[in-house]
Amino acid sequence: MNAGVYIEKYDMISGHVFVAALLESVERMSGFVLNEVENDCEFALVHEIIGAMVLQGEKAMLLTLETNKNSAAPLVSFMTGIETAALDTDLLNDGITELINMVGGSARVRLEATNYKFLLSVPFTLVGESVKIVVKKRTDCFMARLVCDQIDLMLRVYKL
Amino acid sequence: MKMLTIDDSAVVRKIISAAVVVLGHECLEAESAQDALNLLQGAEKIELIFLDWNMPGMNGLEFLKTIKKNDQFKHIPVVMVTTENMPESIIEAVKAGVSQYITKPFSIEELMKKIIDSLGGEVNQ
Repeated sequence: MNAGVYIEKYDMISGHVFVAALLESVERMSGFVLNEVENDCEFALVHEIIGAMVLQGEKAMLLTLETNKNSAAPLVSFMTGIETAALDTDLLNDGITELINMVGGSARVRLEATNYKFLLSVPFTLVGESVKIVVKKRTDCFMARLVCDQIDLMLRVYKL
Repeated sequence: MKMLTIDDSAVVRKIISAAVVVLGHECLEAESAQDALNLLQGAEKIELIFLDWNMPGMNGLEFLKTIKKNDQFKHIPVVMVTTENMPESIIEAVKAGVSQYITKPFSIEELMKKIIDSLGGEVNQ
Protein backbone atom coordinates (compact mmCIF):
# COMPACT_ATOMS: atom_id res chain seq x y z
CA MET A 1 0.00 0.00 0.00
CA ASN A 2 1.36 3.40 -0.90
CA ALA A 3 0.72 5.67 2.07
CA GLY A 4 1.07 8.87 0.09
CA VAL A 5 -1.55 7.88 -2.45
CA TYR A 6 -3.99 6.78 0.21
CA ILE A 7 -3.52 9.94 2.25
CA GLU A 8 -4.19 12.07 -0.81
CA LYS A 9 -7.49 10.30 -1.32
CA TYR A 10 -8.59 10.71 2.24
CA ASP A 11 -9.99 13.77 3.93
CA MET A 12 -6.82 15.06 5.56
CA ILE A 13 -8.64 17.32 7.98
CA SER A 14 -10.54 14.54 9.71
CA GLY A 15 -7.41 12.36 9.69
CA HIS A 16 -5.40 14.97 11.50
CA VAL A 17 -8.17 15.42 14.05
CA PHE A 18 -7.66 11.77 15.01
CA VAL A 19 -3.91 12.30 15.22
CA ALA A 20 -4.42 15.30 17.50
CA ALA A 21 -6.78 13.22 19.66
CA LEU A 22 -4.17 10.46 19.95
CA LEU A 23 -1.37 12.90 20.81
CA GLU A 24 -3.53 14.44 23.52
CA SER A 25 -4.67 11.09 24.92
CA VAL A 26 -1.16 9.66 25.18
CA GLU A 27 0.36 12.81 26.65
CA ARG A 28 -2.34 13.31 29.27
CA MET A 29 -2.55 9.67 30.32
CA SER A 30 1.15 8.74 30.26
CA GLY A 31 3.21 11.92 29.86
CA PHE A 32 4.80 10.70 26.62
CA VAL A 33 4.93 13.25 23.81
CA LEU A 34 4.62 11.43 20.49
CA ASN A 35 6.06 12.73 17.25
CA GLU A 36 4.47 12.06 13.90
CA VAL A 37 6.88 10.43 11.46
CA GLU A 38 6.19 11.90 8.03
CA ASN A 39 6.19 9.70 4.93
CA ASP A 40 7.21 6.57 6.82
CA CYS A 41 4.06 4.60 7.37
CA GLU A 42 5.19 1.33 5.84
CA PHE A 43 7.59 0.17 8.49
CA ALA A 44 8.65 -3.22 9.73
CA LEU A 45 7.02 -3.19 13.17
CA VAL A 46 5.23 -6.47 13.78
CA HIS A 47 1.83 -5.67 15.18
CA GLU A 48 0.54 -7.80 18.04
CA ILE A 49 -2.24 -5.58 19.37
CA ILE A 50 -4.82 -3.63 17.37
CA GLY A 51 -7.25 -1.48 19.34
CA ALA A 52 -10.27 -0.69 17.18
CA MET A 53 -13.67 0.91 17.14
CA VAL A 54 -16.31 1.54 14.51
CA LEU A 55 -17.51 5.10 14.03
CA GLN A 56 -21.05 5.10 12.70
CA GLY A 57 -22.58 8.10 10.99
CA GLU A 58 -23.19 9.53 7.56
CA LYS A 59 -19.60 8.51 6.87
CA ALA A 60 -18.84 5.22 8.62
CA MET A 61 -15.22 4.68 9.62
CA LEU A 62 -13.03 2.10 11.31
CA LEU A 63 -10.50 3.59 13.68
CA THR A 64 -7.51 1.43 14.63
CA LEU A 65 -4.37 1.79 16.72
CA GLU A 66 -1.72 -0.81 15.91
CA THR A 67 1.31 -1.60 18.02
CA ASN A 68 3.27 -4.38 19.65
CA LYS A 69 3.89 -5.43 23.24
CA ASN A 70 7.26 -3.63 23.47
CA SER A 71 5.56 -0.36 22.57
CA ALA A 72 2.47 -0.93 24.68
CA ALA A 73 4.44 -1.82 27.83
CA PRO A 74 5.99 1.60 28.60
CA LEU A 75 2.75 3.34 27.68
CA VAL A 76 0.64 1.24 30.02
CA SER A 77 3.34 1.32 32.68
CA PHE A 78 3.38 5.12 32.75
CA MET A 79 -0.43 5.23 32.67
CA THR A 80 -0.86 2.90 35.64
CA GLY A 81 2.38 3.23 37.59
CA ILE A 82 2.90 -0.53 37.31
CA GLU A 83 6.42 -1.72 36.37
CA THR A 84 6.64 -3.04 32.82
CA ALA A 85 7.79 -6.46 34.05
CA ALA A 86 4.60 -6.78 36.11
CA LEU A 87 2.24 -6.00 33.22
CA ASP A 88 0.46 -9.01 31.77
CA THR A 89 -0.91 -9.32 28.25
CA ASP A 90 -4.46 -8.54 29.34
CA LEU A 91 -3.40 -5.20 30.81
CA LEU A 92 -1.43 -4.30 27.66
CA ASN A 93 -4.43 -5.12 25.46
CA ASP A 94 -6.76 -3.24 27.78
CA GLY A 95 -4.47 -0.19 27.76
CA ILE A 96 -4.47 0.02 23.96
CA THR A 97 -8.24 -0.53 23.86
CA GLU A 98 -8.75 2.28 26.35
CA LEU A 99 -6.50 4.59 24.34
CA ILE A 100 -8.47 4.03 21.14
CA ASN A 101 -11.66 4.61 23.14
CA MET A 102 -10.29 7.99 24.27
CA VAL A 103 -9.17 8.88 20.74
CA GLY A 104 -12.66 8.12 19.39
CA GLY A 105 -14.36 10.13 22.13
CA SER A 106 -12.04 13.10 21.77
CA ALA A 107 -12.30 13.12 17.95
CA ARG A 108 -16.08 12.87 18.11
CA VAL A 109 -16.42 16.12 20.02
CA ARG A 110 -13.88 17.83 17.71
CA LEU A 111 -15.78 16.71 14.59
CA GLU A 112 -19.29 17.22 15.96
CA ALA A 113 -19.96 20.29 13.83
CA THR A 114 -18.80 18.66 10.57
CA ASN A 115 -20.23 16.01 8.27
CA TYR A 116 -18.10 13.52 10.22
CA LYS A 117 -20.60 13.48 13.10
CA PHE A 118 -20.67 9.89 14.40
CA LEU A 119 -21.58 7.48 17.16
CA LEU A 120 -18.94 5.25 18.73
CA SER A 121 -19.08 1.48 18.98
CA VAL A 122 -17.71 -0.37 21.98
CA PRO A 123 -13.91 -0.49 21.58
CA PHE A 124 -12.38 -3.89 20.92
CA THR A 125 -8.97 -5.43 20.41
CA LEU A 126 -7.51 -7.77 17.81
CA VAL A 127 -4.51 -9.70 19.12
CA GLY A 128 -2.06 -12.25 17.77
CA GLU A 129 1.32 -12.54 16.10
CA SER A 130 1.56 -10.25 13.05
CA VAL A 131 -2.11 -9.43 13.32
CA LYS A 132 -3.42 -7.11 10.61
CA ILE A 133 -6.61 -5.81 9.09
CA VAL A 134 -7.16 -6.51 5.42
CA VAL A 135 -9.65 -4.31 3.60
CA LYS A 136 -10.82 -4.21 0.01
CA LYS A 137 -8.53 -2.56 -2.48
CA ARG A 138 -9.06 1.16 -2.96
CA THR A 139 -10.55 1.60 0.50
CA ASP A 140 -9.67 5.12 1.52
CA CYS A 141 -7.41 5.05 4.55
CA PHE A 142 -5.64 7.74 6.52
CA MET A 143 -2.46 6.54 8.22
CA ALA A 144 -0.12 8.19 10.66
CA ARG A 145 2.88 6.72 12.46
CA LEU A 146 3.67 8.22 15.85
CA VAL A 147 6.76 7.47 17.87
CA CYS A 148 8.51 8.34 21.14
CA ASP A 149 11.60 6.38 22.23
CA GLN A 150 10.62 2.70 22.01
CA ILE A 151 6.93 3.52 21.58
CA ASP A 152 5.82 3.06 17.97
CA LEU A 153 2.14 3.42 17.11
CA MET A 154 0.26 3.29 13.82
CA LEU A 155 -3.08 5.08 13.68
CA ARG A 156 -5.37 4.25 10.78
CA VAL A 157 -8.79 5.56 9.87
CA TYR A 158 -10.56 3.51 7.19
CA LYS A 159 -13.50 5.03 5.37
CA LEU A 160 -15.96 2.15 5.13
CA MET B 1 -11.47 6.44 53.74
CA LYS B 2 -12.71 3.70 51.43
CA MET B 3 -13.50 4.46 47.78
CA LEU B 4 -14.77 2.39 44.88
CA THR B 5 -13.84 2.57 41.21
CA ILE B 6 -16.24 1.00 38.71
CA ASP B 7 -14.88 0.56 35.19
CA ASP B 8 -14.72 -2.35 32.76
CA SER B 9 -11.16 -1.29 31.93
CA ALA B 10 -8.61 -2.72 34.36
CA VAL B 11 -6.12 -0.05 33.29
CA VAL B 12 -8.47 2.78 34.27
CA ARG B 13 -9.22 1.07 37.60
CA LYS B 14 -5.46 0.81 38.29
CA ILE B 15 -4.91 4.51 37.44
CA ILE B 16 -7.70 5.63 39.77
CA SER B 17 -6.67 3.23 42.55
CA ALA B 18 -3.09 4.51 42.39
CA ALA B 19 -4.22 8.13 42.74
CA VAL B 20 -6.51 7.27 45.66
CA VAL B 21 -3.73 5.39 47.46
CA VAL B 22 -1.27 8.28 46.94
CA LEU B 23 -3.82 10.52 48.68
CA GLY B 24 -3.85 8.15 51.65
CA HIS B 25 -7.11 6.33 51.05
CA GLU B 26 -8.15 2.80 50.14
CA CYS B 27 -9.71 1.91 46.79
CA LEU B 28 -11.87 -1.10 45.94
CA GLU B 29 -12.41 -2.10 42.33
CA ALA B 30 -15.48 -3.38 40.47
CA GLU B 31 -15.45 -4.24 36.77
CA SER B 32 -19.22 -3.93 36.35
CA ALA B 33 -22.10 -1.99 37.85
CA GLN B 34 -23.64 -5.22 39.13
CA ASP B 35 -20.42 -6.17 40.94
CA ALA B 36 -20.40 -2.68 42.45
CA LEU B 37 -23.97 -3.03 43.71
CA ASN B 38 -23.04 -6.32 45.33
CA LEU B 39 -20.04 -4.65 46.99
CA LEU B 40 -22.13 -1.75 48.26
CA GLN B 41 -24.73 -4.11 49.67
CA GLY B 42 -21.99 -6.00 51.51
CA ALA B 43 -20.24 -4.71 54.59
CA GLU B 44 -18.07 -2.14 52.80
CA LYS B 45 -18.61 1.50 53.79
CA ILE B 46 -17.82 3.42 50.61
CA GLU B 47 -17.36 7.20 50.81
CA LEU B 48 -16.62 8.09 47.18
CA ILE B 49 -17.42 6.32 43.89
CA PHE B 50 -15.65 6.71 40.52
CA LEU B 51 -17.97 5.60 37.77
CA ASP B 52 -17.48 4.84 34.08
CA TRP B 53 -20.45 5.46 31.80
CA ASN B 54 -20.14 2.86 29.03
CA MET B 55 -19.95 -0.62 30.47
CA PRO B 56 -21.45 -3.95 29.41
CA GLY B 57 -24.67 -4.78 31.26
CA MET B 58 -25.91 -1.96 33.46
CA ASN B 59 -24.27 1.27 32.31
CA GLY B 60 -22.93 3.96 34.59
CA LEU B 61 -25.90 6.27 34.27
CA GLU B 62 -28.31 3.45 35.18
CA PHE B 63 -26.12 2.58 38.16
CA LEU B 64 -26.10 6.21 39.26
CA LYS B 65 -29.89 6.47 39.06
CA THR B 66 -30.21 3.19 40.98
CA ILE B 67 -28.09 4.28 43.92
CA LYS B 68 -29.60 7.77 44.04
CA LYS B 69 -32.99 6.11 44.67
CA ASN B 70 -31.56 4.11 47.56
CA ASP B 71 -31.63 5.81 50.97
CA GLN B 72 -28.59 3.82 52.09
CA PHE B 73 -26.33 4.94 49.22
CA LYS B 74 -27.75 8.17 47.81
CA HIS B 75 -25.44 10.33 49.95
CA ILE B 76 -22.27 8.83 48.43
CA PRO B 77 -20.66 11.35 46.05
CA VAL B 78 -20.09 10.00 42.55
CA VAL B 79 -17.35 11.13 40.17
CA MET B 80 -18.15 10.19 36.57
CA VAL B 81 -14.96 9.24 34.65
CA THR B 82 -15.83 8.71 31.02
CA THR B 83 -15.18 9.33 27.33
CA GLU B 84 -18.77 10.66 27.08
CA ASN B 85 -17.75 14.26 26.53
CA MET B 86 -20.73 15.74 24.69
CA PRO B 87 -22.39 18.61 26.60
CA GLU B 88 -25.77 16.84 26.65
CA SER B 89 -24.19 13.81 28.33
CA ILE B 90 -22.62 15.95 31.04
CA ILE B 91 -25.94 17.70 31.69
CA GLU B 92 -27.75 14.35 31.89
CA ALA B 93 -25.22 13.04 34.42
CA VAL B 94 -25.41 16.18 36.53
CA LYS B 95 -29.22 15.95 36.55
CA ALA B 96 -28.92 12.34 37.68
CA GLY B 97 -26.75 13.40 40.60
CA VAL B 98 -23.02 13.20 39.83
CA SER B 99 -20.82 15.38 42.02
CA GLN B 100 -17.89 15.69 39.61
CA TYR B 101 -17.31 14.86 35.96
CA ILE B 102 -13.96 13.89 34.43
CA THR B 103 -13.61 13.26 30.72
CA LYS B 104 -11.03 10.79 29.45
CA PRO B 105 -8.23 11.44 28.67
CA PHE B 106 -7.29 13.05 31.96
CA SER B 107 -4.00 13.73 33.70
CA ILE B 108 -3.23 12.28 37.12
CA GLU B 109 -3.10 15.84 38.49
CA GLU B 110 -6.67 16.55 37.30
CA LEU B 111 -7.86 13.30 38.80
CA MET B 112 -6.25 13.98 42.17
CA LYS B 113 -7.68 17.50 42.24
CA LYS B 114 -11.19 16.13 41.63
CA ILE B 115 -10.72 13.60 44.43
CA ILE B 116 -9.57 16.29 46.84
CA ASP B 117 -12.46 18.58 45.79
CA SER B 118 -14.93 15.72 46.30
CA LEU B 119 -13.64 15.21 49.83
CA GLY B 120 -13.88 18.90 50.64
CA GLY B 121 -10.11 19.35 50.49
CA GLU B 122 -9.33 16.51 52.89
CA VAL B 123 -6.12 14.52 52.24
CA ASN B 124 -4.82 11.78 54.52
CA GLN B 125 -1.08 11.97 55.20
